[in-house]
Amino acid sequence: MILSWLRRGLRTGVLTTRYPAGCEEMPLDFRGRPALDADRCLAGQGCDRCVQACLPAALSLTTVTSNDPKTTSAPQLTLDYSRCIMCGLCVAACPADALHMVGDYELASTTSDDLRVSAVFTQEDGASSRDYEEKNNGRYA
Amino acid sequence: MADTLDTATRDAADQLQARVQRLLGHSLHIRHVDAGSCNACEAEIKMLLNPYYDIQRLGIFFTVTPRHADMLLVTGCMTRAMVDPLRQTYEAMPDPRLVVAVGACACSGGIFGQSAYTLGGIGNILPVDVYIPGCPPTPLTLIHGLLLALGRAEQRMHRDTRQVKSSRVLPMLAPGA
Repeated sequence: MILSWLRRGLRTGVLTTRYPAGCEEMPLDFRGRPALDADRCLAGQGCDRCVQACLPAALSLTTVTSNDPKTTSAPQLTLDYSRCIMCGLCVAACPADALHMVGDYELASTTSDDLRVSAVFTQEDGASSRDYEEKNNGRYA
Repeated sequence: MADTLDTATRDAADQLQARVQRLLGHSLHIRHVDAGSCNACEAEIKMLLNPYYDIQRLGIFFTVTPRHADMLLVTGCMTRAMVDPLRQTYEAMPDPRLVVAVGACACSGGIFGQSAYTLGGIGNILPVDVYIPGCPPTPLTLIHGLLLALGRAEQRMHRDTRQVKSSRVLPMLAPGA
């Protein structure tokens, strides 16, 4: 009996993940996290379908209050990964395909601000994706 | 204090620290506290100990007492009933101690938010070192967060995380379904 166990173990080989040293394939039904493509987002035109669909209020639409005349009272869409439950309802609700799920699992962060990404939509040129990248150091862009 | 140390002492301290790090390899003992979780995060944490993820190969262990622990792993939306037990657990731990918030609830209150019974994240009670988002976070996300807390995130050899860019929405969530 022990010999058969040994044979089966040798035949199976090593099953443990190589994760920190190597890459890991996620299963096909892993949804990952929602990612915002600010260039396609219609929040500048008054769309708030994803905010309406979001259950834990991870997505929020606010207006910027700043002294810069270019961005003041501009709509700002904020996605807070620390509140997000990765359900995918915002992706299903988005009419412009601006939100999509990314199969990314290295999400941990040392500050809660790093988990918040936001896009400011200035009035004349729609989405400004440069603002979006600067606000989260390119981490979740 | 650091200014009064002479160069030789500082060199010796650096060497000692490097030797300790080489010998112990940033090993870690974790005490887990459930502060009002739905048990999904616990199921993922438990999976870290199975032969597939096998977190003990990284020198990370779970202990049963906060006195032996270096890290406090907190799950749940911080119910009022668990505030005092959580504080007592934290105070029972020896310094230096790390606090890691696991899951959307512990990070920010998640789907519960702030209410009469929940305080909305453990950041309101304890100083959090690492936030691990997700509902629940996968075991690989947990491993990444634990290594980040230890300053071992550079142990990841691969820089190009293969990102699958597809809108993998469940069929029942697809528009028009």
